[in-house]
Amino acid sequence: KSALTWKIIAKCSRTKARVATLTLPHCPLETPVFMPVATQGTLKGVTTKQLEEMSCDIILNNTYHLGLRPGQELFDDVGGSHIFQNWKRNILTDSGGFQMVSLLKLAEITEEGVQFQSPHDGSLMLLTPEHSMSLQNSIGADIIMQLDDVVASLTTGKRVEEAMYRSIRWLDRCIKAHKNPETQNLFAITQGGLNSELRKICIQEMIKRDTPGYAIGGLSGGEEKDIFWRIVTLSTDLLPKNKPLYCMGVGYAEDLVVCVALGIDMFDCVFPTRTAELFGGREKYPEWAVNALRSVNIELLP
Amino acid sequence: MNTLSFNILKTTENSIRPGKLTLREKTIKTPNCILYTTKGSVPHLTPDNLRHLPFGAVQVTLEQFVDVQPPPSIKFPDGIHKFLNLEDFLVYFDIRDPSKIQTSSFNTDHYVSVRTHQGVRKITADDYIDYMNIYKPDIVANMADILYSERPGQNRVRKSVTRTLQWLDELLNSKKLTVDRRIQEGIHVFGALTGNQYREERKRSAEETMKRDVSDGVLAGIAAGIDLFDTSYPTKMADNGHALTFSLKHSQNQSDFEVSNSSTSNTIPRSINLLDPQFKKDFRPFVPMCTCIACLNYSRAYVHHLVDTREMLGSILLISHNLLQYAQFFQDIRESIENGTFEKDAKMFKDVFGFEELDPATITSSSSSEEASSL
Ligand SMILES: [Zn+2]
Repeated sequence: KSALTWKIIAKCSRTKARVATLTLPHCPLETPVFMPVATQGTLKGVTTKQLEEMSCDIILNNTYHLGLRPGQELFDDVGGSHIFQNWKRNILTDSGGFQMVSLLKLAEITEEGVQFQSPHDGSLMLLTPEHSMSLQNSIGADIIMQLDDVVASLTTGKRVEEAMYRSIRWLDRCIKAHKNPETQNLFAITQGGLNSELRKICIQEMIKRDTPGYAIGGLSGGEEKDIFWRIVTLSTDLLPKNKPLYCMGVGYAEDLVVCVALGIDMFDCVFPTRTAELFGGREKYPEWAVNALRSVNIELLP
Repeated sequence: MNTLSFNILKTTENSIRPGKLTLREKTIKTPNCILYTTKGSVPHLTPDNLRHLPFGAVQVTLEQFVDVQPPPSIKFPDGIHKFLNLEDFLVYFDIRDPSKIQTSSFNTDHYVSVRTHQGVRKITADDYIDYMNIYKPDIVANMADILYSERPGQNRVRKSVTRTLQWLDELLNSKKLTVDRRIQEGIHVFGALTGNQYREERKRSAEETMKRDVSDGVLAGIAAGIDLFDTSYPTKMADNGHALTFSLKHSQNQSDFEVSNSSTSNTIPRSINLLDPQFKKDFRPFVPMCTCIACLNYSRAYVHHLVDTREMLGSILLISHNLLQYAQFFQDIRESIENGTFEKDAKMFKDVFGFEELDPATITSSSSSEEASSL
């Protein structure tokens, strides 16, 4: 099931870049799109009216933070995050898992879910795929993300494979637990680290689940850029051409340009200000970006 | 056209009076308040949010600007208005930050001490003129020897009045000096009143100030009533997470406003503390019918969440609301004075809100509050 429509308006003749209209439950928007992060249900110091005036059509809320404060019960009472923060356009929420792994030292991943110590009272808590769905259903975002088993992108060996297969199993649990497929779009997150074979397997399996959109996860963790873009282009080749593709956690200027050329439609990053200058002040394109753009046949100006 | 006029619209038996201050084709009805700023910026508000509010004048204090050397207005020679992106506002310059009244100052006959991030700096009357000529405000308050202790002795107060008058003379007499030592045309001088709790000294301060040269556009103090206030109170309240809930008219339709309130007294709270978990699920605006950007768009529950998570938007919404409430309060006072119901309204206000420190009656009559002496 899907609560979105996706229509490509124009395609680049030399790269995989495309312009499309993504119609989500709250309003249509044009992609490629950068989604600013409103972690606590507010974009730093900006009113929702000012955001509308800036032509922002989608913002990102963090499930982990909103689950702690103001908490799930409040979203059930008020009828979701849109009403709570007076935002009439679209919202995307993450699963909450990434923040736990990155913010909490004591997070431990088991087949059941991500176990962590509550930052408030130190008690052990468990974020399962079912719980993540329940939280995201209460928050009510237009796009919600599956809980995935996140490993640092530089991790190698068995753990990467384990995380990839577990992410597929967790996707199944998320699909099953998702209560609002008519109004909220669940995106799968492809994993597999920097290993092309694992990426292929993961994508093939996830395509079978036919989610409304797909994300590429487990990148932008300090890996070599040459490897990073190769994984991106492999993914966009294999993922469905008729669905929006979201590259998670990518937001630096060069990365954005390259990823758009490689066929990515949606971005988020916690450092939007650093993306202000596209190639700003650089005399040369970085070599990895040149290689990436050549792979999709773009000519660079001298 | 750059002359300043101040007209008393109506005289009343006591000193409560409506008035009208006109300058640069802008009119400010009094009693009124002008915006408190830090370094010329209204805390938390970008100019687009600021322009939603009914204010025409900002207060800037030299105390917050002396650290900036050379002064920005040298680099931006159009003066302080353009530098602050507030060309459509009147700028009132004073020497000390009115919200830091607890800071004791050590002044002599020759200088006023101000507190900066780099420590205490001494400002002489000459320095003050130089700065004002650089910043080019519309109105400048003369340097005042303000005493911040609770009950200063009479000798010290007498000295304070004398010094302040002497500094006013220096500011005014500078007109007779060479061009570069003179306060520029178009900068209007307000006399600062001192005297603290001593009636006699307050009288001397006011009377002597009134005697000073009021020709060529100089307005020597607004002696009898106090006609202008600053907004450091609503600003401070917002910074502490409080939304103001008092209003002069409020008292009449108090029934449409219930605050879930644990206090046992039968007065309505003058403000609500949004940090309080009691607002966690309160989906009402701060104040019903308020037209500020916070009350029109957001709930107490949301602002509680913002304050709880220390989000910047919380401060923006609180200050927007508080400034509008405060402006409305002054508008209600002006109407009340014009209708001749002020004393009655003020009494009802006190009964409803149990308000001592911000009592409209003490605000608008000549009182011994420090706000009086800063203007
Ligand atoms: Zn309001």
